[in-house]
Amino acid sequence: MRNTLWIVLFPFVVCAVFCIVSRAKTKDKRKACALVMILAGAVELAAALNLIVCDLSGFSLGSTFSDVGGLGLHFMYSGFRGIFGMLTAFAWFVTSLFSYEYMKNDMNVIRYDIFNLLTLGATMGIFYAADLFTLFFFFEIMSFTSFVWVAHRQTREALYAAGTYLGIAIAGGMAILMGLFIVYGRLGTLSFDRMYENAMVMISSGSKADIRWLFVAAGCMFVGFGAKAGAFPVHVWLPESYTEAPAPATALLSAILSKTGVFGILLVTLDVLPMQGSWGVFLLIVGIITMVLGGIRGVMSSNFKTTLAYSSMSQIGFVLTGVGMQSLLTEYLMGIIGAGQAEELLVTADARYVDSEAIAEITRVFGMAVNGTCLHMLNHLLVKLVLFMVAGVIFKHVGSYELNQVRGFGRKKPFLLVVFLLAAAGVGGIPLLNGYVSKTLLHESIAEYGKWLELMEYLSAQSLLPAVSASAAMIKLVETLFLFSGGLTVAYMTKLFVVLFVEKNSDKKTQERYQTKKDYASMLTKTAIALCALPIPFIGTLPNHVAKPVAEYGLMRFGLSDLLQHQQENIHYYSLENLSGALISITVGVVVYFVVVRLMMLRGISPHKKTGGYHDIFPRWINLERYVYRAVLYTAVPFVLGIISRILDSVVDIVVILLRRTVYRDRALPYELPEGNRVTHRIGYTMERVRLLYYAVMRKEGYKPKHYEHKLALRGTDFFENFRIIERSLSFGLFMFCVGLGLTMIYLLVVN
Amino acid sequence: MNDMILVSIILPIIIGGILIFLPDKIFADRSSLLKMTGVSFAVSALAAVYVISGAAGNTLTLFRLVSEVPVYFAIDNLGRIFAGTVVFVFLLAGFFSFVYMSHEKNEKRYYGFYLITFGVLMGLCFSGNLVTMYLFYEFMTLVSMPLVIHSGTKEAVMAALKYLFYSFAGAYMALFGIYFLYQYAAAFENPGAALGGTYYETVRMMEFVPGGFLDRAALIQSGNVGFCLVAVFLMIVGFGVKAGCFPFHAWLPTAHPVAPAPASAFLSGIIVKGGVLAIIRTVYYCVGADFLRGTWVQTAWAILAIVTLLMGSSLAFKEKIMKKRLAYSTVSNLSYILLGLSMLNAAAFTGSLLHVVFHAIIKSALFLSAGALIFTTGRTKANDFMGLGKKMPVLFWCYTIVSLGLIGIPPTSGIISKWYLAVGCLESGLGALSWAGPAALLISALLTAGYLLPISVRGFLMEPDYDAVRNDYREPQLLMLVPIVILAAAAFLLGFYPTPLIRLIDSIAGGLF
Repeated sequence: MRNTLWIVLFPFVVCAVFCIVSRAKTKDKRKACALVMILAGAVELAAALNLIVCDLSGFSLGSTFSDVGGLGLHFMYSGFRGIFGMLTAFAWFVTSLFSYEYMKNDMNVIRYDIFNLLTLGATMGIFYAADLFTLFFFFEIMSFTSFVWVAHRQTREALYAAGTYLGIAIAGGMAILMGLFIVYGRLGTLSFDRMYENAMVMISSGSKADIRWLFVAAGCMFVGFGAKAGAFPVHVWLPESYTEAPAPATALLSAILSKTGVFGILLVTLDVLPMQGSWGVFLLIVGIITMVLGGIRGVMSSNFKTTLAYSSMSQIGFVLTGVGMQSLLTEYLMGIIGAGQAEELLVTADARYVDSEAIAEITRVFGMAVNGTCLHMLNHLLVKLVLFMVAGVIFKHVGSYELNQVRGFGRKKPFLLVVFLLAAAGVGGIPLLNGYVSKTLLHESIAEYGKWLELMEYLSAQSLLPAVSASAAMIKLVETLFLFSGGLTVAYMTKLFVVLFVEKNSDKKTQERYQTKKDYASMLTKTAIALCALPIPFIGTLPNHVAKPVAEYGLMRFGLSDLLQHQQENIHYYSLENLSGALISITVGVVVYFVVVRLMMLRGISPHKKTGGYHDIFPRWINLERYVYRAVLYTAVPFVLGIISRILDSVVDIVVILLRRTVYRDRALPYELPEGNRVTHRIGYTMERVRLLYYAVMRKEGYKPKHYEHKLALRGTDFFENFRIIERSLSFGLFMFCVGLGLTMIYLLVVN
Repeated sequence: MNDMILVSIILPIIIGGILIFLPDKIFADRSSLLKMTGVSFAVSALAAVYVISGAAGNTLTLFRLVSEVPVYFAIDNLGRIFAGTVVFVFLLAGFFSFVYMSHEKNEKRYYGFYLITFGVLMGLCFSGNLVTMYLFYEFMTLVSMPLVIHSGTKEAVMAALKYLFYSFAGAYMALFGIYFLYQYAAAFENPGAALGGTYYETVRMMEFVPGGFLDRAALIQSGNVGFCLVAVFLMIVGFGVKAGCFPFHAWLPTAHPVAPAPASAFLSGIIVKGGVLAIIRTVYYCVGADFLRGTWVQTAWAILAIVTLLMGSSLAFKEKIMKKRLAYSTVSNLSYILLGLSMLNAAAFTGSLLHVVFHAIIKSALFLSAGALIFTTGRTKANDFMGLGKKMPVLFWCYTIVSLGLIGIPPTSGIISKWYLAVGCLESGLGALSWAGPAALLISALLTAGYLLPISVRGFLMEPDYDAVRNDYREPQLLMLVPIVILAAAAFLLGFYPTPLIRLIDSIAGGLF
C-alpha cells in the first residue's frame, strides 16, 4: 500500500462494489450501506495515515498511471498533501459516522452515498496530484459529483442552488482548462516541479510578454479554483448551495472542497507565478474583500446555516490573505537577496536592510505567513466540521435553520454547548484555542511586513533597494481590515451562541420541548462531533508542540521555502503584543454584535408577539448571483449571441430568397387571367397588399379581403365595353373629326 | 485481398438495390424482412471489417475514366480510422432502427438506401485518388437523400431539396478546384506501363500522397500560385458544405432532424464526416500543408471555423426542439474539427481526428437517445423529458455520459480531443487566432453544457409533469437500448484509455508533417 495511487483508486472501487451491493433487496439495506460508508472512510483514513508513516520513515511515494486520459495521471506525495489527504479521509470518516443517524430517514440515500464515495476519490486525487492535468481531471470529477449533494433534496430551492453551483463549476472548470492550455504552451510542462523551474527561468530571462501570459493563465485558473474556494467575485454559489445541501455534505463542502480550491490557488501562486508580488497584491485584495464581505453577510444573516456559510467564505478570505502575503514576502526576500549582492549598496547605510540579519528576519516573517496559511486551513476545516454537524443535529429536531425557530434549542444540552463553544470561539480567534494561533501568525506576518515596508519607503530615495508591489499604506489598511474581520467573526459567532444557548424560544411550548429532549443525538453522532472538536484546544494551548510541527511538516516545498527548513523558532503566542491583536478583534466583535445584531436585527421582540425576532437586514436587491451572473450569463449573453448567430445562420438563405425574388425569378406560368387584364390585376393585387400591410401594421385586427382585383376587373370590363360602344357611335366619329380639325388648326397656327 | 476492397464497397450497394426493388409481397411479415436486413448488415460489415483489419497499403485500380485518371482504391490508416468509425456506427444505428422503424412506413426502402449509403461511404474511405473520392462524394449525397426524405412530408421534401441544393453547390466549387489541381499534379510512373497495358510512361492520376501531389515547381513557374490558393479555398469551402461549415451550413439543421432518428444519427455522426475526410484529403494529401501554411487561406479557414463553432453552439443553446438542437450541436462540433485541421500542425491534426471518432460516437449516441425518448414518449421538445430519469435510468445515464463527453469533462472522451486541438492552436503561431481558437472552444463547451445537461438534470432530479407524462414509461426495448449503451461505453473507454487511437493517429500525422 505504499502507493499514492491506491488511496485515490480505493473509493472508486468501493463505489463500484457499492453500486452492485445496493441492488440487493434486504431489509437492513440502509444500515448496511451506512456501515459500508463508515468502513470505507476508516480504511481510507488508515491508508492516508499509513502514507504519512511511510513518508516519515523515509520511503519515497508517488506513482504514475500512464496513458489514462490522454496525458496520464501522475501522483506524488509531500507533507502538505499528506496532511490534507489525511484530513480529507478523516472528514469523510467522521461525516459518515454522523450520516449514520442523520441520513437514516432521508430519501435517495444510496444515490447520496455513491456520489459521496466518488467525491472522496476525486478529492484524494486532487490532493495527491503531481501535475496540473491530474489535478484538473479530478477537480472536474469532484465538481460534478458534488453537484448531486447540493441537488439532493430536489426541492425548487435546492435545484436553483444546484443550478448555480453547476454553472459556476463548469465555467470555472473551463477557465482552469484555458489556464492549463496557456501554461502548457508557455512553460512546456504541467508537472508542478518542472513548472516552477521553468517559470523561474522564464522570469529571470525577463520576457515581459511571456510573463503576461502567465498572469493571464493564473487569472483564468483563479476563476476556477477561487470559485470552489468561495473567493469574492465567484463566491455567488456558496451561500445557497451550503444552505441547501444536507448537513454532512455541507460540512464536507466547507471543510474539504473549499480547501481544494485554496490548494489550487496555492499551487498557482507557488509554481506558475513564483515571486510575482503583483499577483500577491491581487490575492491580498481578493482575500480582504472576501473576508470582509463574508463577515458582514454573516453578521447580518438570520439563518443559522447561511451564517455558517458566510463564515466559511470569510475564513477562506483569511487564508487567501495568507497566500497573498506569502507571494509578497517571497518577492521581497528575493529582492533583498538580490540587492545584498550589489556592491554599491553594501557601502551605504542601507546595507542593514539587506544584510543576513534582515534576510533571516524576513524569512522568519515569511515562515509565519506560510505556517499561518496552512494552520488556518487546518483550523477552519476542524471548526466547520463541528459547526455544520451541530447545525445538522439542530435541523434534525427543529426542521429549520431560521434563527427564530432555532432559538433556545441548545439550553440544557452540555455536550452541544461545549463543542459549539470550542468551535465558535476557536474560529473567532479567542486565545487558548486554535484560531488564535493561525490568526496571530497571519496578523504578525502582515504587521511585520508593513513595518519593513515603512522603513523602506522612508529610505526609498536611494533606488538601490528592491522595488516591491505593495505599499506600506496598503498593508496598514490590510492589517486594519484583517482585525476588523476577526471582529466580525466574533460577532456572528456570538450571535449564534446567544441564539442557541442563552435566549429562550418565543414559543414557550417549543422551548419546553427543546429542553426536555435528552436523546437529541446518538453516541455515534456525538463521537463524530467530539473527534473533530478534540484537537481544537490542543492546537490552541500547545501551539509550539502541536501546531508548529504540523505546519512544518506541511510546508510546501518550493524554491525559497527551503530556507525555512531549519529556521523556524518557537513563537511566543501569548506575549502582550500578540494578545493585543486578539483583544482588538474581540472588542470590535462585541461592539458590532451589540450595534448590528441587538439593535438592528432584533426587532419587535416581546413575549406577546410571535412575529418578533431576528430579521435579515442585508438589502435583498444586492444579489450578485441573481442580478448580475444569471442575468448576464443565462440571459443577456445567449440573447446577444443568439441574435448574431441567427443573422449569420440565415445569411445564405436570405441571399437565396433575394435572388429568387429578383434575378433568378421563377418565371410565372403563362396562363389566362380568369378576369380582367394585366393592368387591373396588377393594380388590384398591389392595393390588396397595401391594405393588408396597413391592417397588419396599424390596425392589428382581423383582415377582411376587399377583392380589389375582382372589383377592378369588373370596372375594367365595364369601361372597355362602354368604350367600345362609344367607339362605334356616330358622335365618337364626329368627336374624333373635331379633334383632327383642332390639331390641324394648331399646326397651321404654329407653323405659319 | 485487393478484390475484397471492391467487394466491401459493391456488396452493400447490390444488396441494398435488391432490397429496394424486391416487391413487398416476398416478405411474408416484418420479421422476415428484418432477418434478411440483419444478415445483410452483418455480411456488409464483416466484409468491411476484413478490409479494414488488413494491412494498409493494399490498392486496387478498377478501370480508367479517361486515359490518365483511374478509379483507384488504396487503403491507408486515415481511411481505416474513418471506415472503422463508419462500420461501428452503421451497425449500431442499423440495429437500433429495427425497433424504431416499426413506426414508419416504407421500411424496406429505408434499409435499402441505408445499405447503399454504407457501401458508398466505404468507397469514399478507401478512395485512392481525388477523382474517385469526388465520385463517391457525389454518390453519397444522392443516396443519403432518400434517408432525409423518408417520411415524405412536405417539410421532409423541402429539407431534402435544400440538402441537395447546398451539397451540389459545394461539390461544384470543389470540382473547379479539382480541374485546377489536375493541371499541376505531379506525374508518376505508370504502374500499368510495366505490364504493357497503356501507352503512357507517366500518369497524373491525382493519387493521394502524404504531403501532397502538387508539382510546386511547375506551379510557381506558371505564376498561378494566387489562383491556386483561391481554388484550394473553394475546395475547402465546397467540401465544407458537407461538414456544415459557415456560410453553407444551413442545410444541416434543416435536413438532419426531419430524418428518422437512426438516420439522423448516421447523417450527423458519419455522413458529415465525409466532408471532413474530403477536406483532409484535399489539404494534406493533394495540396500539402506546407503550401497553405501562413497564407490567407489558412486564416480565412480558421476564422470561418471559429465563427461556425460559436454560432452552432449558441443556436443549439437557444433551440427548443431536441433533434434540431443536436443538429446545431453537430454544426458546432464539426467546426472544432475544421478549426483543428486549419491549424496545419501535428497536435491539432491529432485533435481533429480524435474528435472525428469521438464526435461520431457521441453524436450518434445522442441522436439515438433522442430517438428512443421520442419513440417511447412521442414528444420532441427538449424540456419535455422531466422526471423520466427515474423510469429510464440506463438511457439517461448513457445520455449523461455522452453529454459530459461532448462538453469535455474528464474522464470521458471529449477532453482529450479538445486538449490536442487547443495545444495545436496555441502552437500554430497565427497571432490572435492562436488563442481565440481555444477561447472559442471553451465558450462553446460552456454553451454545450448549457444545452445538453439541463435534460439530464430535469430527467433525474425534477418531478415528472403528470399532466403530460404517462406513468407507465419503461426503458426502451433492448434492441434500442443496447446500441446506446455500447456507444456510451465506447465514448467513456476511449476517453479513459485513448492511447492506441492516439498512437495510430500519430503515425498518420508523422507522415504528414
